[in-house]
Amino acid sequence: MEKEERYIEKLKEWEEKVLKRSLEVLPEKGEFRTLSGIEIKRFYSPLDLKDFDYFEKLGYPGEYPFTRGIHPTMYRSRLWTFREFSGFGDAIETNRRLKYLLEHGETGLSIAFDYPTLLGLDADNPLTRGEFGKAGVAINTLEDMQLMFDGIPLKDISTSMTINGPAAMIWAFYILTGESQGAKWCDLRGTIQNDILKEYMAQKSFIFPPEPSLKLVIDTIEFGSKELPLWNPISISGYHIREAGATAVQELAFTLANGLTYVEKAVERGLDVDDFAPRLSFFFDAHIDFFEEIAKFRAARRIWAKEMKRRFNPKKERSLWLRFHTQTAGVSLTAQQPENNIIRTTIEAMAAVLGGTQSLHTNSMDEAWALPSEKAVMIALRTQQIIGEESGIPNTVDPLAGSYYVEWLTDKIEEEVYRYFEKIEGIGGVIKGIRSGFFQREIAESAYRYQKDLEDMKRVLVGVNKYKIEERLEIPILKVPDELEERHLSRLKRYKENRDPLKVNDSLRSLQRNADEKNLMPYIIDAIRSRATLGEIVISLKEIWGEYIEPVIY
Amino acid sequence: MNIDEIMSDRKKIAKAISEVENGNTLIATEALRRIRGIDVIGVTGVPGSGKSTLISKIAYKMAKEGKKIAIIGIDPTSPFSGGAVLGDRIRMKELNRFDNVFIRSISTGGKLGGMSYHTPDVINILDAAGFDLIFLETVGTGQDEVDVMNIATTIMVVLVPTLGDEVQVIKAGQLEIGDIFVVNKADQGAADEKIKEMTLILKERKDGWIPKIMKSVAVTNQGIDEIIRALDEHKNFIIEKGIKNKKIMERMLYTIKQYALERIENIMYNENIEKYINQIKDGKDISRIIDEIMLEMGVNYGKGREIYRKVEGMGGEGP
Amino acid sequence: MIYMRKIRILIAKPGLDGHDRGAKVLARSLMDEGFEVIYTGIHQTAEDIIRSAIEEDVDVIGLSILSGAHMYHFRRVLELMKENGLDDVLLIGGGIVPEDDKKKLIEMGVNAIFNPGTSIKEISEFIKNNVRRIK
Repeated sequence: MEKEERYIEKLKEWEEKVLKRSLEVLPEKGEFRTLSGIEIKRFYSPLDLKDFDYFEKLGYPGEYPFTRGIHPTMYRSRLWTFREFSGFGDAIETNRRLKYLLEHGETGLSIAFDYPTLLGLDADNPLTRGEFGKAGVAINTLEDMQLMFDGIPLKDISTSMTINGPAAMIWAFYILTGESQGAKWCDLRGTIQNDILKEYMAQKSFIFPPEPSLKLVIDTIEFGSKELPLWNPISISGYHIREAGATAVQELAFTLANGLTYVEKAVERGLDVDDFAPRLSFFFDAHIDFFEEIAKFRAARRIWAKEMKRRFNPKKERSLWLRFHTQTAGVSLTAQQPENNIIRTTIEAMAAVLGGTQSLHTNSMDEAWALPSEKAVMIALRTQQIIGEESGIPNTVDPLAGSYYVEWLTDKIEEEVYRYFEKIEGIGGVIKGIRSGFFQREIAESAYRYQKDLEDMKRVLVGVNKYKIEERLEIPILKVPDELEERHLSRLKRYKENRDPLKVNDSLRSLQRNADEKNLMPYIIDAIRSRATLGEIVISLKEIWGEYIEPVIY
Repeated sequence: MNIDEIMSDRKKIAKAISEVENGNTLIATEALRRIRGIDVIGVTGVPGSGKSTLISKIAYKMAKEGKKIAIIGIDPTSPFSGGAVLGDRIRMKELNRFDNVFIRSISTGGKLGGMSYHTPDVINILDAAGFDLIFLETVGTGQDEVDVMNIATTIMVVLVPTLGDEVQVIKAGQLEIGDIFVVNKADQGAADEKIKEMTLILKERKDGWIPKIMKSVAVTNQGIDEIIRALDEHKNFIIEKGIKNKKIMERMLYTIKQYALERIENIMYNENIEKYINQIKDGKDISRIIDEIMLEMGVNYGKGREIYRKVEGMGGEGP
Repeated sequence: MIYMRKIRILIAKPGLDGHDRGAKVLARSLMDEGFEVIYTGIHQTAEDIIRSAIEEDVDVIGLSILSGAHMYHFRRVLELMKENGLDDVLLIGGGIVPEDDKKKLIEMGVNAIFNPGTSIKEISEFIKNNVRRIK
């Protein structure tokens, strides 16, 4: 660094003359740490970025290592996609909600599924009692999927589906729904989450053991690269890891490690990295610590580009891109004084935009209580529109670049992530870490520490441990009417009655026979064409692969 | 609570266990008097070796054949709060389908030694209640695990190929007490090498038993049948050699020893520590307090005092 | 005060939702408060929960539910508690439960519902003050 002595000299002078006197009158209060526990200095200066090389660390927008964003013009050309997660009850009810959102300016659809569907269970399975349609929509058959998108042309819209264990099956339903509307497979756009590794780490909606699950994921990646080139076959997700209690650094480290594991496995399968890497997408949490989140997103792009280049050396530049969707932090919402959640969500959404997200879901204020009401969803959507179209934030690319603090924090997060990479390698990689409970332990530890900080008042949560009020809550809460379940069940029954059981059986046996050797996507599609249900396909595979029992860490 | 009533149902067994854990000596002694001497398999091994899952898989097969099985899982008590998280059941969910299985989680109660004073009582209750077999899963933190040999008829030590746990096994003295060694999670790493290593260092027991060493992958049920066979072999061995009765007698005596130890601990610390401190404050001589404690414990102190006086130069005023 | 038995609490997650962050943090925090916590993990049926409660002879059953299926699961657990004579066991819950439902659950016989943001101290006090067993 040029003139380093001068900065140090001036700093000493400042400490003597200015700082000392000020501290006597106005001493500093408390500890200064990010939400993840990174210690923060009083201020940052050129001294904190001594060896900062602009081209090595940042580059111009749309240029390696993509710290400033993957596109040269970012939001000046196109704003991020406004996407609100929705789905509840049955397919018909969700169809109504999707149309409502499209009418109000949403630009992409995002589907939440109920717990039975997430675990690959049909609604007529006794294990699902009490869970129908509660946290999302129930989809068991091709007919359900067709009803959900009735009147919504799939060739014109992009759809994101939060589904993991049975992602391959749900995707197949979607593909055939598109087909029945007359769309070509290659025109379908959207994302399936399909990130099974983080299910074992955090979200716990897994079905099969990790190895066959991973095989199924690679099947979808391979199938997508050949048949649906516009589809993102996986959304490698840190969101759930973070929501389960991880720090920003853990979220990033574990997610990127998962991502690299998928790439490794796909390359082992014999795929050309450039045939699928450009379609990998990511999904992160935007939590309440504003600068830490911005730094996290910037570091994410840089680390991914560097590691993809180093490990797989792709030819296409797009293969180095980390494209991501963001959702504001569900865990940051409070049940108390729920209107405050609008403010929290706004701060988090701004961090996502300043971090260069490609699409965004803003949480609704009542989500600490139940599924959001229409009014609450509207406010959440408006939050994005205000940031995008009123605030001026999108006017320039990566506006916080060059901030001593933000650059320092970006470097710091990168450094910590690499430390985790080493650890993960040391324990034998992601799958071994999952089986031994390494990730679960790390996450549980962070969650516990966070709670302890709240209890000890080391961390303030407005309305919860400070500024509490007596309140009568009057939020309209969305309830799932019982009729929806009855309607769904009778539809499912009819669906099963109107088919050739021998044909169903044949297609399922064929699926089982080829479970370990072949790419399963065509077999799943065949089974669905023979009118097999989600639950039936999943059970068939359970018979071959077994079910996973997790090592429990607390 | 009457002991005959207790033995008839799950809820009453559970209550009886709580009672003895709370120090109800009436029920504890009643159970002790009625024990039938059933097999107690002590399962030990470092945390993460998969003890719970392994027990679950073994018990599953045995329960399917109609055996009445009880499982005791011990987890440590927090030295700071006195609380505990007991989580062994989580890995035994599949046993919930059997009416002939009973699972109970207990804590160490803060006592060093890996077992609370009342662990033998819990075992005795289950023995008297008519179970065929008891699994006792220890905490797995090493040094103190040998306690289990006082109440178990067979000891199974669980190892993992990826952990350097043989060192701990040796240090903790488990090498000497283990009847069956299982290298679990054998699909992760060099299980065969571990078996070779272990075979080299394992020796014939004093009683003539040659320790078995075998591998398993509990989660996928591999090696479970072999373990069950080995357990049977050891069971028959100790009966044939006439060692079993000795082991049962050891458990009974150990139970009683625990009462005595707990009594002593209570006399010395829990009940009286405040009292002694106050007495010292009030100017009471320490030697006097010692005498009183000894008396209360029923120790004949007289002789010791005489010897002490006789040793030259160690005089000092006795009271 | 020699053989003071610890209050025993069963923490379970009924149903299909796998969000166990709250349940795990609670289990550990209640340990810090001096309770013995039996943690049974996710995907528990009401039958599983009752069986564990009986065998472990717990004083309190705590259910964590974030899936919105709370009405069903609490009702089922309450039914089985009655059937099995667990009248002296407290039933409490935590998670995402709207006010209306909370009222209904309390009327049904659930002893307390704690919303997100409740402090551990508050939960701990509630348990200590309401445990029905005679120690």
